[in-house]
Amino acid sequence: MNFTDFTFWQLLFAGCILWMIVRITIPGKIRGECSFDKFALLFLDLALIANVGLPTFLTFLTVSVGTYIWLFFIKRYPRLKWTAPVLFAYQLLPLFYFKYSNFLLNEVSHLQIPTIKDLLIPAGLSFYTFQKVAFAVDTLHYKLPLPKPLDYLNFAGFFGQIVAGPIERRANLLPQMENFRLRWDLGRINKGLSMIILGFFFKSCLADNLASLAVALRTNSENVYLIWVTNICFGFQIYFDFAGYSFIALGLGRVLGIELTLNFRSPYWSTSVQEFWRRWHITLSRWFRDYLYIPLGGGRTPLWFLNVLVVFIVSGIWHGAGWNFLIWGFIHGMALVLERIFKYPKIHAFLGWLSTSLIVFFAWMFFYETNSGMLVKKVARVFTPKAYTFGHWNAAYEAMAATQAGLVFVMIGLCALVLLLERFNWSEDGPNYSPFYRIEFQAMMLVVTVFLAPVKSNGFIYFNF
Amino acid sequence: MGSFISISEAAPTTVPKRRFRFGGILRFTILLAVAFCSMLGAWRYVRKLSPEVELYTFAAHKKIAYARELDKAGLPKIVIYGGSSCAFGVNTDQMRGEFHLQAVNFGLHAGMGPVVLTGLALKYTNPGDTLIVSLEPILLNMSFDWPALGDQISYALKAPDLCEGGPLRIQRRGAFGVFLTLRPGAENILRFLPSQLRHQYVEYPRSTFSPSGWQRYDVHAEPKARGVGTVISADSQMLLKRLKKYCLEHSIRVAYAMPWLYCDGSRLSTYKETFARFLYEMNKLIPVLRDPTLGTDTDPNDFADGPLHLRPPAATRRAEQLAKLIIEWRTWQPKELAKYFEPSRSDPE
Repeated sequence: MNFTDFTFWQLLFAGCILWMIVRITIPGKIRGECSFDKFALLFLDLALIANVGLPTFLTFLTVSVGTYIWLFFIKRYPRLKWTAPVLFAYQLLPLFYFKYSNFLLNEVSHLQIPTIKDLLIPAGLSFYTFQKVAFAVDTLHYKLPLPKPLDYLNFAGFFGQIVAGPIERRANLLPQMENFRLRWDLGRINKGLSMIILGFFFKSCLADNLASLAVALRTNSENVYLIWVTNICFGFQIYFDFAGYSFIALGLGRVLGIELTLNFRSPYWSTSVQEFWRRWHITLSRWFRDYLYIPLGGGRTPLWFLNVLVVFIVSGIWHGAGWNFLIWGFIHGMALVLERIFKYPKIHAFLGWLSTSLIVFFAWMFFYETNSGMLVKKVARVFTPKAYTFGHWNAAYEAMAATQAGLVFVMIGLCALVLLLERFNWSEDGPNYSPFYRIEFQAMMLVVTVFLAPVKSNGFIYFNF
Repeated sequence: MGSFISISEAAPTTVPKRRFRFGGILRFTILLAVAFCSMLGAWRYVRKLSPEVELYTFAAHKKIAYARELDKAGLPKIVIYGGSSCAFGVNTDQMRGEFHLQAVNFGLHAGMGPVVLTGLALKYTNPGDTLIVSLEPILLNMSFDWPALGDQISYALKAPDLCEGGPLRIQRRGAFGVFLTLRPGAENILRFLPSQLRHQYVEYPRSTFSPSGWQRYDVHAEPKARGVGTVISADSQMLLKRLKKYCLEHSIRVAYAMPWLYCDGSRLSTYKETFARFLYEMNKLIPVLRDPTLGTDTDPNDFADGPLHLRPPAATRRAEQLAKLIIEWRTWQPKELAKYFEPSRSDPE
């Protein structure tokens, strides 16, 4: 379900028109009694998921429907509660098969099984698997009632969040689905459209242009300044890509009257790695906190640092099956542990921001560089003090000038402007994007996106996870 | 596990009251108008300030005008089309001057994609004419990418049907979204605008195009040898099959002519083997003109600014050779091509 693919919007628009036509023909009373809007939303959800591809559709049904049926039997026959761990294994099985089997069996165990090489991961598998695990844990642990199948399927398959999150919890999304009725509120629609415009500006204008730069610069492993420029380009790209997707998802939800969770809150202004993770991919961070970190004992045990490391290593593996992702998670985990031991980000906010940014942008290198040889070279280069000479700086500038210096400077400048706007509206907990919803900024973003977005869009990075 | 379902995180479940806000409508209308005007402005920018679109639209108009002029004479004509290798590589002036062939060179920019290039050439090919396909192998090795340049030039020519191959009507996914490609993009603006503002040529001058469509460009830079894939993609196979069917139905003679590509002389036999494989596959779809070089050229002096752009003397030689092949209609037989390599047993003879 690629929000930048015109086919998606065609299908969504056609689905909504059909929904409206049928809705008008059914009398209001009957409409309410038969939960017409809920059925229509489910129909739209399933059609959009099926449009992504049959493997995606079937895997989604296997995980979602299987979870519900299993929970139904556990609720009906409490003596089956012992099967809960088997349910979790069942939920995680497709994820392990599609995402990790090649890494574990071929790369780690060297079994060389050809059939599991190059498996295509069904879209959104990592996201909705985590959502279903959380649903099962909440339902069983808090002895919550099982919702009606229709409400559950709308919760499980709402198209805005199925492919790349937000990983919505039962407590937030399910009540909305239970009370779902389509209502036209212009204020809400306008807010939703504003989010969609912001999302497209982030994704199509900023992330897609940065993607071409990051790809062009990625081949360099000699010049340390170019390595840092690549890291910055990729860091901005991944933020605007994923935040852009999330804003479009939020906006679509808002138009239909469904409030999804804000997944990003100006993460690049964080003054510690801990704060970064409170602002970056918020729903995933909360998932790890609530379903892994706290069950392991959280921060109240003497071995709290091990818990932190485990959580971040698992988070790394969640992002991708590879050693580089594992190391990426480890770097973040270690940074967090050191922060808590030495409390150095609290010395000064600027130093905290600088150290956090250095760690985060350095770690992105492990995210984008999947070639281990290149990765080792780049890491070695970054830690070579002699590499930071004026001569290398000139060489980096010339290399950029020879390729797309204008694009590098314009895009990084534009990103910096956006981040500054975020900064001016900084708050500890509230959303930091309100200036972007002002009509003058919305109009500017529209114009800039139309002119500057590449004519061919790239896929969303987080679709790979 | 502690209370991890935070009440404050949960969204309000009460349904908001229905409200009518004039400001909301105004805001929506303004943004819609801004989006619409931006799209129009972007299209205007592409049409006027994108040097590729400007140049190749001019070139296409010139070629179309020449084709129409030939049609007026009532004689069957020869339409040769492809990417820039065709534009540079076939001196159609020579074909007319020396061989009295009514030839028009529809070679444009390979970045327009094979569908638009084919559609444009086919649109100006009439029953009784001859169509020579000289698309670059690399365009046929890949699946269709539907490049934006093709869409933009189609719209600039006021012929949006070319986006789907003109008379071939090739369905494309998300066809309604074509208008979204009528924009410049940051890379285009930043690459071309500074030179445009300084009135410097960023593409070729208009004067390089002769009336018959041949692009005469006599510069020289050392070419670098490139490889060619031997596979014709499923998309390209479909395109060529449809083209052949259309030509059969409309009494148009059709054949493929391999562009000349700079090859490293020390590895000539390897190149010939590869090119023969490609032409062998092509021959299964449409006849291939019997160019004994198979498209290999080892003389670097034959090339202008790339390994596929011939200089005028080489373009004249190629035109003479093509003219003779077309007059005699000499095409390759599968067995002849197979001599250059060992065909696998599953290949039909």
